[in-house]
Amino acid sequence: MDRIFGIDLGTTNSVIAYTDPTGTTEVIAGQDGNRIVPSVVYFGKDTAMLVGDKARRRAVSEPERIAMLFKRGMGEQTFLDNEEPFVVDGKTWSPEELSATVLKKLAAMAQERFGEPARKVVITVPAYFGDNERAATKSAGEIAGLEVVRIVNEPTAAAVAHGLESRQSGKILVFDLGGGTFDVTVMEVGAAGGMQVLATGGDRKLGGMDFDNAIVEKMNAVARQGGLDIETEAWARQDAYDKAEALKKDLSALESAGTSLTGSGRPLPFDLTRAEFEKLIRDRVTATEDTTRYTLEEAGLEPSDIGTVLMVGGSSRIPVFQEMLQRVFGKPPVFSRNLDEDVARGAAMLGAKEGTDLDPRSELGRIPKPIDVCSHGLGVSALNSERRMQNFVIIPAQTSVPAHGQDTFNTVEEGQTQVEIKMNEGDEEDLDDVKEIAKGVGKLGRPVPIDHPITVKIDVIEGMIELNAYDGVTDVHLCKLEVQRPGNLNTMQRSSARQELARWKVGG
Amino acid sequence: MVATREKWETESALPMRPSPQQMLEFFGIPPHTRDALEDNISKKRRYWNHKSNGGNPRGRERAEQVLQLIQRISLALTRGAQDEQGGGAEAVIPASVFQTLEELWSILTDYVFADEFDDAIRVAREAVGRWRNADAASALAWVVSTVISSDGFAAPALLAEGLQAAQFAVGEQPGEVRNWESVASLLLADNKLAEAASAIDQAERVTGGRATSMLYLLRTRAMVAMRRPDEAMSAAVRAVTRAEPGKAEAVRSEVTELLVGWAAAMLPIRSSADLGRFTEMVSVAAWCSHGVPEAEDKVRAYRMWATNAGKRVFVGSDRMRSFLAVITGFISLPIHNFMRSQPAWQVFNEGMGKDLTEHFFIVASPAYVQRIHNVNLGISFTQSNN
Repeated sequence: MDRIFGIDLGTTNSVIAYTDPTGTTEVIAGQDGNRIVPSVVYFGKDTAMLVGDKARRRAVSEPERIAMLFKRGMGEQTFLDNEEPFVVDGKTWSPEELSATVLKKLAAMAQERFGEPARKVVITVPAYFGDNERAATKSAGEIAGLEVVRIVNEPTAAAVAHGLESRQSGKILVFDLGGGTFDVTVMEVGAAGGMQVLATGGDRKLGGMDFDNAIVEKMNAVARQGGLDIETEAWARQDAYDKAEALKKDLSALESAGTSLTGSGRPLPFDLTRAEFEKLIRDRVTATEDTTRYTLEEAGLEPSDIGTVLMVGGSSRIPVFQEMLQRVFGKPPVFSRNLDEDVARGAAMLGAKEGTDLDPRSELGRIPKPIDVCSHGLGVSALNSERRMQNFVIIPAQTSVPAHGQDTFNTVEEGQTQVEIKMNEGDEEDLDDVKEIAKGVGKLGRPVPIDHPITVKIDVIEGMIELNAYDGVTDVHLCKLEVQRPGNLNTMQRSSARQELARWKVGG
Repeated sequence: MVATREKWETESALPMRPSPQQMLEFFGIPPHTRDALEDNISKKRRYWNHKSNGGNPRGRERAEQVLQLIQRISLALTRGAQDEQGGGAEAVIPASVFQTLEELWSILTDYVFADEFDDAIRVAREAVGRWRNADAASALAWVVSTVISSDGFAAPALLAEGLQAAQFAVGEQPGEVRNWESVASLLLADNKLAEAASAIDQAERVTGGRATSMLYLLRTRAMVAMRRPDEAMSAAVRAVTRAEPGKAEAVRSEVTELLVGWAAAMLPIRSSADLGRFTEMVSVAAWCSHGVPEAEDKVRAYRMWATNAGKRVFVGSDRMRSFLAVITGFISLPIHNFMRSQPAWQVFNEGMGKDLTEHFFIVASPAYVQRIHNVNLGISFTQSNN
């Protein structure tokens, strides 16, 4: 029997879970007993790497050999803010490869638990992830030697985990504020447990780390005034980040908290009240409110239409976000059973549904598979009536998957023998606001008159995007576009990355 | 389902110095009424916040810039807004927080220098409510005028409140220069130029020799806005000469910017008289900028044009000139040169929009000429050498 595991591959923490054929879900712990694995990788000087808590502990002493927050660069060549590649001992590590190391560690935990290698997984991603980020996540799984059965949206997984326990139906809004990303999803849960995503939104660079940064900035200001330097030395900087995170966590329960700042100079006490902290992150709170309201608008709903507001993600513990949601929706939000684990639990449940062993009589077996939506629109570039290029959306965002759309365009010159087709991801008309994900040329085989029709069809099936163009008169197939992913590793690179990773011993 | 957006929501640009009307239109007022301001600000911010997470880095960058614009303009429009009871939305400040005028000023300056403008306004209002005297009014007027100078725009209600406080303070304490500065600054912000100029005149009379550099700086601003060049230049020079050592650089920068802004508005030069006025304005600006590198940079291109715009450029035929020179034993050369030449500003004006001629090229190819005339002719020295 091939077990299918559910993995929450988070920006700051990752979790693996498994749902057995009876529908019972277990979050898997490592040898150290921890079920939450920090998404941090430490590269040793030999071919040994540490993933998780032990790696994180090295961040203070050897920050240059540590990779963290790499999920923020998924689908791109680097995750560093300065856009430099992440290099250790002359080897460049892409976000995909780094994610693969975390997946390898999680797979090893599963192997320790069940005594057989983990082969198949369902991995969760933020709902607003585009095609290349999803493809990069899948590729990370391949590099780790795993078969990625399905990529699932994190809020969908959280809602599945919560829905099965609460048995609530109606419209729910999932507010997922994690360590590095923020996601909002509006879903409709049917009486039979079926789920349909109505709208998704999010902010790729908003999460707990940003709140830590805000505290660190304040620490810097205090340290400078007191003649202490906590910025220059890498270890002092990392120490400040660790203390900021601890303070942030304390302030979720306490009205004020303190620590001591250390660096080059005499240590200084640093105190922060919850009110001061809330002031520091005020803009971020507003940004989450904006995204929440925007996603509701996209779903065509009012706050009063939402029956349940479900909070997920570690940063949801910060009281100011709970207060904000209570203000917007006029009712207190509910929390998933375990803020840090429910995404993985939901992924495991969905993994079980993908397999063949699930008892059909179990509650999980009875609910239909959730229906996802395209988080971004898909369209093509063409001239508008003012003869300016714009994006014409063929499949709008929030369309249920599988999705199909088609539109007809016309040639613009007399005697044209070919057409250039560019496919874009995004819902805006302005080409600066969308991402070109594929382009190609369709040969018409003969000169055609002006205004000759060209039919463009786009299909989205299980996250796979396909564009086909046809001659509108003869129905002859002109071209099929392959999605280009310049930031992702290609097949050869993936293969060599897999071999490279196999050389390394992953511990932690 | 995708929500339909109104045009104002998607609008991303505003003029450099927008009027209050333009700022309100940026947030859809009209067609919406003023009551909708807060909702519309939030709606527009939501839309652009969503766009700042799009898949295209160019679009994300633009959305970030629009978000900053929204933040700046919305702050200016809502700054200092009071609730319906007029008491301010924030909690009452305990009496113990400030008890003396010195304590009040210390708190206000701390807030203002930390850009905590809303807190500064709140504390100043509290002082006015508590003491109801000229000292408190003076403090409120100073805070409001400082905030408005920093924001570059004033919400009408806040401006009226500040002006009322400033006028009360100046009536009670006419010898206090700071009150006159507040009055003049707020009148300027309200676009009451003549009244601002008159207030400054009155301040000069009442305060005698104590009129500050700031007052003359405000006078320069008023005169520039009223298109009175001689008075503007004279006020600018006084602002510079009266500046305290610590503030001299800032004053020089500010007046240079005002004068250079005016000089820029004089371009293109259309007559010899224009050239004279332009040259005078630029030379005063250059004097004001002396010793402040950023200010000198601002004025440099204008100064180069002021020096060269009057120089004559030969526009005739070189072949004919040579021929005439030879047959007249070079006697005709100076006369011919003069007869067939024009001042550079004239060559530039006549050449604009026509086919590129060699003499126009000589005048217009330097980058500074194109830059100050705000045109890109696609020509450069490199091209000329080729």
